[in-house]
Amino acid sequence: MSHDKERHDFKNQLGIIRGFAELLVKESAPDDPHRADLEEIYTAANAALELLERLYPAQADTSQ
Amino acid sequence: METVLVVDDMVANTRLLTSLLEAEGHIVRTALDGSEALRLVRREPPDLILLDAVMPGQDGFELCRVLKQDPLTRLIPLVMVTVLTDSASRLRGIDAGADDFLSKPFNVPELLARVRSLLRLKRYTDELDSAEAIIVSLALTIEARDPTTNGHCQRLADYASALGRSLDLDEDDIDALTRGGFLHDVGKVGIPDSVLLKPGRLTPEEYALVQQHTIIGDRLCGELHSLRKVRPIVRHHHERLDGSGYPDRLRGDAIPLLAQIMRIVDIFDVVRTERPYKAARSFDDAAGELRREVALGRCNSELVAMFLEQVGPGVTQVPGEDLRASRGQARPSVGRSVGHTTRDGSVR
Repeated sequence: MSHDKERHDFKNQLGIIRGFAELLVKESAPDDPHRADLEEIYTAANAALELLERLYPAQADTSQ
Repeated sequence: METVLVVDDMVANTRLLTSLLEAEGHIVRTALDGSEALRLVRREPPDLILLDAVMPGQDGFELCRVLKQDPLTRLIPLVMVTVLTDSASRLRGIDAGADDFLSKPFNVPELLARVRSLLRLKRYTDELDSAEAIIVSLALTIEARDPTTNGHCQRLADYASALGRSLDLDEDDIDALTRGGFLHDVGKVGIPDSVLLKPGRLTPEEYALVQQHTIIGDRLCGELHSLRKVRPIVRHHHERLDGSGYPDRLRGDAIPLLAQIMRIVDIFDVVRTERPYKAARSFDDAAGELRREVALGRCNSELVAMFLEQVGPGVTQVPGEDLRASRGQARPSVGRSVGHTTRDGSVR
């Protein structure tokens, strides 16, 4: 149960990082010097989420 | 501009959704728990609710259930937002009445597309609601054409819904009885004043014209999904069990129960109140009239007995007294109103 809770919270946090990165990328001009950095954050958060899914697959959710 | 309420116990999530939705031109309100969300919804109903499923205290499923059981909030589209992707959680959400689901972390284009689509749905619902409001105003305007029977529609709505409750009908039926009280004669809008307000007896042609009000009313309500349970009342509230009523000369059980209820309470109210052609009569007279209808095989005896027991001589209104005031109900005023005359066949 607490394992599921931790996984849930962790996924939530990564989602927030990815979401804000996506928002900032969307709002930045194509020539914005920070744009590439923001895309790095987005890509890394996305990779972390995929890694989480692979290491702890979604069936952990079923007990919730 | 439409308002979206975001409910999530994590501030960062509410901020993220706020930024995404405000960029699309929506007004966003946020709540961090169920009770704050309920307070906001009741104070200023939003057009859409995005609700986190997993929250401490009252979770999203519970809150969803509460909002979807309340007639005042159940038409607000509600999306459960969750990192839970399994079908058991989806089923819980569907059971609780959720209209849609979104997975966290969000796929932003999908989130925005769902929000747009549900807000469109809400606009249609609102338009239907206002169309119904127009039809109700129309019905009250028709009442107002004859200034002698103040509150007839309101009383019918009260009597009929109370009888529906005694019969243990479900909430949708009781709601239909309330609306039916207001709308049963809406079709009279299509009957000329010269006939509707004619003093003295109607010619057979005029009487046939008055009977058309049931069909006209049915057609008026026809386009509105929200009135689908009210239509049978509007069309069939002059049918008699023995098949001598109108417009379809239905017999016995073929007459919808809700329409039978409306006819009984209508007859009662007409006898009890003053009309241009008659004085208000006593409870016993009204009860006698209903028992005569039963004896003639026109009304269901159990419904009549139940209704008379429910209203009782001591409970019914004294003619001229405003029932709404005596019950302290906060209903919109129906103004000067009119009800039936004998000429539409309620009491003959």
